[in-house]
Amino acid sequence: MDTATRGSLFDLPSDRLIDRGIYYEPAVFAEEIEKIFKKTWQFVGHESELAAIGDYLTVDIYDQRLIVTRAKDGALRAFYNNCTHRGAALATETKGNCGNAFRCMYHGWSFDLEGRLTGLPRRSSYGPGVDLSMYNIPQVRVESFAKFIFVCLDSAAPDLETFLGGVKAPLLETSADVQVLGRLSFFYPGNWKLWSDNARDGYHAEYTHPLVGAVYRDVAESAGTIQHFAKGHSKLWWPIEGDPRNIGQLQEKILGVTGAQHNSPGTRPMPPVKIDFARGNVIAAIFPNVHLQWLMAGSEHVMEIARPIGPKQTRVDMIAFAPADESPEGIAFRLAKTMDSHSSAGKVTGDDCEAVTRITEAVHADGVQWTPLNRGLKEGDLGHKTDDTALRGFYAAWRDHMGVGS
Amino acid sequence: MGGEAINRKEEAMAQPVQAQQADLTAIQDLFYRAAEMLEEGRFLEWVDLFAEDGVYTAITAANLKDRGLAIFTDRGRAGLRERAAYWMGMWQVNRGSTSHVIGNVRLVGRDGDQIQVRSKFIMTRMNRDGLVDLHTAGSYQDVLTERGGALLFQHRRVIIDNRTLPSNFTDPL
Repeated sequence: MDTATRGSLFDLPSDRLIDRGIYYEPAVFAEEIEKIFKKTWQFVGHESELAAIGDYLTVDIYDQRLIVTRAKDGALRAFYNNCTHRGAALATETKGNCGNAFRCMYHGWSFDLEGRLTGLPRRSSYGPGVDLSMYNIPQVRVESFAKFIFVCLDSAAPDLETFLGGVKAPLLETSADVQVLGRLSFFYPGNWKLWSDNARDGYHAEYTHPLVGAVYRDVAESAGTIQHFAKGHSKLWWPIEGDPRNIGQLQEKILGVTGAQHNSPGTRPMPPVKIDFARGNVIAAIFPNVHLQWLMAGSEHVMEIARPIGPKQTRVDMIAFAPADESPEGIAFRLAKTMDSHSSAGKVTGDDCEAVTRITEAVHADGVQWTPLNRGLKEGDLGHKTDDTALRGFYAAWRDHMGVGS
Repeated sequence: MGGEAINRKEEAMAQPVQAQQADLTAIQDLFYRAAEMLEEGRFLEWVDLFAEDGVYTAITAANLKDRGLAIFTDRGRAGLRERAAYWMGMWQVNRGSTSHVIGNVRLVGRDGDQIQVRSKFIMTRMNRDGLVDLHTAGSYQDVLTERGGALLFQHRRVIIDNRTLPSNFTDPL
């Protein structure tokens, strides 16, 4: 893409339009890595995953590979997952326990839990008085909020709580005391922003997901809000509509599709899990790529992180949660059922994968340059759940980071 | 030992082997019919291969070693019919033809009328460009039960070798 074309790409005429090139242009993607992903707090995991000294998590911020570990003083430390000798990765698993040190498999260099070089095989060959500290791995910023761990590659960025701002409240309301059930990941062939868009788009649910349309009547007109917070975060909320155990409408659909008799008409057994009907459903979106889904009164509690792999390739990492004091029966139920609707095999997310795939296949059309963001256009940060309020907020933050005006 | 005694011993040993071979043939026939029904879209017939309270679940090998977070779990024929409904149109996803190649079928235990079986599978799928990809591979861990002279799935656990799933993982495993 030449400079003139690139210039026009960023020259968004208003906060109501997106130039579709941002979903596939390699130059835009490369700039996003530098200006967004290396400048904002990026999600790593939950503190309960790093309970013991030497427990670690690895995370890739595009091509920047990091380790986050629980150091001997009990504090979290983050540093590059990279031996300072020849550059080999020190840890290759998503999580584990390294004991007291990370040892490089290539030449045996060892680093303590703060990234300091402590073991140098055949040290004398490096001459007398070699200064091991020259080879310490640079640390990066690590902070946590509500026990959710984030790292930031930018030393000048504001602290984590300042960055999170208004989205702290829904994180605390839903996730103050949780345990991790497990992780699952999937790829989709599309730009990372398509997942961020989807999490802020309550309009699609009734049409993309026949399940949702079957369970809830008149989704587009029923109660629920989308709230945009500063810096591109948001909260999508909608209530439990009617009795969540009543799946009569779903059964009608199933009967229609299969012609088969469902043998538990009217209700499903109540799941033996801790739930909060009053809180309904919450999707808390953290700019740029994290979406906490607390659904069906908390019976499904999943964090999604959309990791950019390429302009048209994204990996979604999911972490499933349960309340810390969930019963053994509740844990067993959640382990079996939490992911039923999520992942690329999920009864809901499977359709989202199809939607973003179809967008990626077709979005580059010379005659159709713009995507509108004008649903529910009005002043303020609060809209109906199907409005584009949070999408406009997300792209306002995106433009701020990318250094382009509206 | 006289020849008659030797013959009696061989007969005693051969009988279980023959019986086991007959079981294995019946088990393989069940597995192959199940795969064929899924590949041909005969989903409600596939549901009837399960016991009324049968369970169908999938999990990654990594999560099986961890706390056991499943990809999905369907309980009873009602749950299985719901999954059939998704395959039959409740999902709006692209469908591509699939093939399941099943091997290494091995009886690993017997408890009353229930038989534990392990096997391996490789699954291919036609992608959106019309090409066939290796979609996934892994193991089946089955508990089979005999009802009315027929073998049925009491519990089918699909263990996926993948740590990361492909974009469309909704096809029958």
